[in-house]
Amino acid sequence: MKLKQIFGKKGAKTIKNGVWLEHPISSATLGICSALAISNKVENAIAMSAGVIFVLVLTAVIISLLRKVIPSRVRIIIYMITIASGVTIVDLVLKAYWPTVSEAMGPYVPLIITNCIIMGRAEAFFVQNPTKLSLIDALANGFAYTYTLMTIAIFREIFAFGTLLGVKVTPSGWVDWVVLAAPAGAFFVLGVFLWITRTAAGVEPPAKG
Amino acid sequence: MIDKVKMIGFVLVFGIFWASALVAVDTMTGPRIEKYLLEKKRKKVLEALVIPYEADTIEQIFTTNVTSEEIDGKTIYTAADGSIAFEFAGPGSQGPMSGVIALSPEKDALKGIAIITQSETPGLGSRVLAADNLANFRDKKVVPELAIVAAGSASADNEVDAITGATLTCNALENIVNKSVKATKTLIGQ
Amino acid sequence: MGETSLISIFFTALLIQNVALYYLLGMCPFVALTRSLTTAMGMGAAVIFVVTLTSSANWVIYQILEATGSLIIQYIVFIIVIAACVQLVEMIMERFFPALQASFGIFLPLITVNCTVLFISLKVTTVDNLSYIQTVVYAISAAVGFWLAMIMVAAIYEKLDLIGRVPKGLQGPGIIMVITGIIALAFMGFSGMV
Repeated sequence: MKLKQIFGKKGAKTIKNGVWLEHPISSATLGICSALAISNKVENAIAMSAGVIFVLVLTAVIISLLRKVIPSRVRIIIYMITIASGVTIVDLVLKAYWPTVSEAMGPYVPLIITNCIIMGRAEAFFVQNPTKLSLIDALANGFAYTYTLMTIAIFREIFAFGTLLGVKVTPSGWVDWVVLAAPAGAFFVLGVFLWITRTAAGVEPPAKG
Repeated sequence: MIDKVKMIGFVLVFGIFWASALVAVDTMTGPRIEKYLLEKKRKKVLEALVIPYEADTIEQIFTTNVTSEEIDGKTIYTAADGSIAFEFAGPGSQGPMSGVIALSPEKDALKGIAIITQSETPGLGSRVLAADNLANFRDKKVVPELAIVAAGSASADNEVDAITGATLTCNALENIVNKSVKATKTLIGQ
Repeated sequence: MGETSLISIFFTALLIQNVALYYLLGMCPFVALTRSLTTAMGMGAAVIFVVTLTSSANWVIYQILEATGSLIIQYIVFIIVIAACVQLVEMIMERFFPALQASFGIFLPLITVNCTVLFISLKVTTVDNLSYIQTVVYAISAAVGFWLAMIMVAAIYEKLDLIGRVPKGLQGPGIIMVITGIIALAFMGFSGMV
């Protein structure tokens, strides 16, 4: 019993602190951590974004509808069950209707469960707000995630493979920047993306030390 | 006390609800997934047996050309011309690998190899397992054993050129092929 | 499955298919905590401990789930087991090693949502279907690899912070990504090794 009690209070405080350590713009990028590896093809990025949005919306609806009856101390477990179930559904649907994409994404689909954004929003917003608002918040966060992932994917696919959704778009004689196809390339693209967005938003650099 | 019962009760009910929902989704998607996996396996068997097929004729070509039987829990596929095929699995250099091996009707030479899963180094080890390199294995003798030798020095009937720099993958493949061929031949009594 | 040697598993997980640099996981704590070498060390150590514990537990659970045909709830069960393990570890540390627990601070609970933990649990069961010993070796090696990546990036970042002139927008997460990218490229050189 003690386990569940500590779970509630400490877990919540930690997730709130831990997940939102950073300014919102970089929070959105932290949320795509588990998708970085497959961000080299736009097709995968679309599937991943769709999956995340589905789970976000599902969680938003369920949690906000039940927010008045969820016992506070077990709410983290409830979030986990909801999110894990949503992800299982996404996984099954992908395997059944888009098997090639599912194979390309492999073990990254279940990792949506550990996506900081979903848990973070559930705790910070869905459990405290009515369904309509939660839905809007879910879609907004889903959108932020999508455009970040898609930007990186479009860039990587065009420069590393010369294609967009499988269709060749680069002129002949173009040499692929193969480094962007490798996992290492994702870091560089993300670094540049962060540079641009953070400069544009005038985010203050983190304190020294 | 009541509080704790309520808490646990809530979680249990919630959990059971979702478990049932998932079982429902599973029943709906299950058949499709199985169909896809079956087709995938059949494709690989046809590939190893070097029987050509089109994307939409897999089932038809498979059922007309190949029969399968289970011996001691292992599925052996027999083609119309007498060649047999079976699945294999074993350790690669970086992770497990699996696929289908097909033997000639006399069971003394390879008809073909098709890979299902592997996690070798892209561009290096995985080249050994690519379709065009595997084509080099066709018609190579497996008696006494298949041997993968230094690139360019293959001469005997049972020797295949390795790819320089991919020694470990080559060794793994050689091991796996020989082991599974021997095991299967024992199984079917040859 | 198979008899992939333990040494081979160790090196593959540590260098060639490094969880952070090849699979690109665990970026949340990676970016947040590689600003200082001491925090990187702390987080890395915590991850090694938790990962080994949770993947062992989940391996056992996976065998049970498989035997009873209830794999459908695998993800739900795994994540709850991970959360429970982390809680357990925290409680034990609070009771027996309070100083250590204080120095880990916030890292320990954060590990629950660390992608690496769930990933390793899934990889040793669903993806590779390893034996128990292989699982433990893989878990430790992968976690040590993560720790290694973290301290390397943190060390370089600290140095750059002191002597470099990083553009304002690139400071923090941006330059961490670039450093990590370079290290990831370097690690690609290990791929012929095993």
